[in-house]
Amino acid sequence: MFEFQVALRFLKEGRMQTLLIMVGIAIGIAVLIFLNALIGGLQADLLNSTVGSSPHIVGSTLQREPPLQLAQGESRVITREIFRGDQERPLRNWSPLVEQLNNMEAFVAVSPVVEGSGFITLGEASLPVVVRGFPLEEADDIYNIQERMVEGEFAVEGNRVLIGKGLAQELGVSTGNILRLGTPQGIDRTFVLAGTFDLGTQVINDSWVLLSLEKGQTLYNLEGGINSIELQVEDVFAADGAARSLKQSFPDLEWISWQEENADLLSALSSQSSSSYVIQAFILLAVTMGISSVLAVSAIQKSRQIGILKALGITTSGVSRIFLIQGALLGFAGSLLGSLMGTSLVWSFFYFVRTETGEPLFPVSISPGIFIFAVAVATLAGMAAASAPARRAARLNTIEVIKNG
Amino acid sequence: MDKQIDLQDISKVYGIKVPVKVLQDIHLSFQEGEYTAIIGQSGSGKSTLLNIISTLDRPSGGSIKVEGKDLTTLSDNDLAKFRSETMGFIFQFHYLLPEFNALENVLIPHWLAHGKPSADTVDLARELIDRVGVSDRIYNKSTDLSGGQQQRIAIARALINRPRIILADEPTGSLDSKTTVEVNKLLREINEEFSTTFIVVTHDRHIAAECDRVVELVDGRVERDYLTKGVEIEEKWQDLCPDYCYRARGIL
Repeated sequence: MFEFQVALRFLKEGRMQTLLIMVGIAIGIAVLIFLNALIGGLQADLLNSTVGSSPHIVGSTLQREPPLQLAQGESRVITREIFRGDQERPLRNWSPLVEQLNNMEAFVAVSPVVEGSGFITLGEASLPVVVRGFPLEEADDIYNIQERMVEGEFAVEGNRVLIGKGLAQELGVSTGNILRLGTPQGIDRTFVLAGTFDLGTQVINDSWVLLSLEKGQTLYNLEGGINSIELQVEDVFAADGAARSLKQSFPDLEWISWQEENADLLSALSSQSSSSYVIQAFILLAVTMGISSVLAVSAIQKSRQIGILKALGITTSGVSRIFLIQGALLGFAGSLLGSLMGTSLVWSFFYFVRTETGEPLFPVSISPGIFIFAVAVATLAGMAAASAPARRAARLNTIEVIKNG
Repeated sequence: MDKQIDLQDISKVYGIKVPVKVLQDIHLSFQEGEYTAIIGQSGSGKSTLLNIISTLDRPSGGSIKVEGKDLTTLSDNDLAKFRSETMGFIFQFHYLLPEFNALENVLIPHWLAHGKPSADTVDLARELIDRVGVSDRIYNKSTDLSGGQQQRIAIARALINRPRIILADEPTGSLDSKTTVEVNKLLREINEEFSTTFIVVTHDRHIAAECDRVVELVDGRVERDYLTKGVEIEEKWQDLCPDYCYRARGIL
């Protein structure tokens, strides 16, 4: 296209001008990408520690109140497990449902759960605990317990149980010790401590006792029933959508997503995102204005050329296109350069800025989408920036130019 | 012979608060292949007239037909298209695009009118550059060419679309006298070779003397319009430089 050729030549001839604005755009885009990677990394880290190793959706028969009063003032988001009271109506005949859920692609982990409160008595001491019974392999897909074992063996079959490391400390027990576990219903059984775990959350470490599903069912007299089904989805943000569709498909159960329970976290994340968007918008605005001012100067510098092209038969829209293409090219090339700079900035931060323990100071995550976004937006911003100079150039009076030499 | 260009009652007024009539009552027509000079003092309206013929400017009144087409009814974009297909332009300040080399400059009008040039068109451009005598500078940027060479390239550029009409505004106005003679000779040869209609605005009566016809403007009106083709040189100069002209020079 002729206009493309002219635009390219105009940019090539104005070397210094073109180079400066390109570097300007590149710096803007690099900062944008860096900021995005940083915020994205921080949020991913926060999300992962919050919901990465806990169920995203819980289906149960019990109507529950959201644990508002207890979540307040707690910096760590408290997951629902601790608040679950005694389950009144167990879910019977649950295996076809679990199988069906397992077959659905949306869910990466599905686990039936028996849950209840209880207490461990050891000599004089008696401590309240949260008892959770589940098939260990399935639950491990959600809670990632095996990797976070502190000592002992990752096993709950037979009489064996796992407890949190805080609870173990408080009880002063270690692997191989015998524990007596009782329930409010008056049932009590003895178990052997197989190992302790550290799930990274104090309330869990201080209160959880894990045992097999069958033992749990016996302990709470559920006769083969369970209390709830816990699910994980691939994309954590898809959880509430998935929960909604589960409500439609299985209306007998109450399906609650992590989003419903962590509204505070979500609003913190979204206000963090929006402040990052505001900064990014201002960066783009600065980039756009930079392009616009350079092209405005260019439109004046090139008025002779534009005049002569108009005399030779270029249309006014053709003239506009020359400038729009210049804007787009500047935005495109500048943002490519900026993507490169941004990536190296992110990597150098990741590799060279470390804490004393050698961990990266910031968790960073660059999503490939940001490059496409940055290049597309910068290209469009370039065109938008070019629109005023383009209009000005298109309006240029040929005769004035020819007359004045 | 048909009128290739026909101007009827053309007028041009500049300014709104203080209107200045730059052209009035212009009735002119030009035949195909005719080589016409438009002469006149500065401010006589000759460039304005050329701009109107070349469709770069629109008249305030009257009509202009080129090859039977009424140009006053065409949109700006249609005019641009018509211009690029029908007319070639030569300006005083040659106006090559400094971003392109000589060959590319010659090809620009073709590119605008017909899209990317074919190999044949590139060959034609080379021939034209050869014809205007700058073939050794074909890949030079226009800024590396002398004024005369630039104007020759501009002439080749005016010819690339094989226009039926060439409009030139002071084509030798910024050239030295030796180059002026050469360029005028070249224009005349092209006129004869391709039987292209030439309308040349000039204040140089030597150039006018080389033309077939002279239109002289005074204060925006056609003062005189006469043929000089086949007329003896003394008689031509009598026409071109009548008494007032000699008086003005202090000869009479």
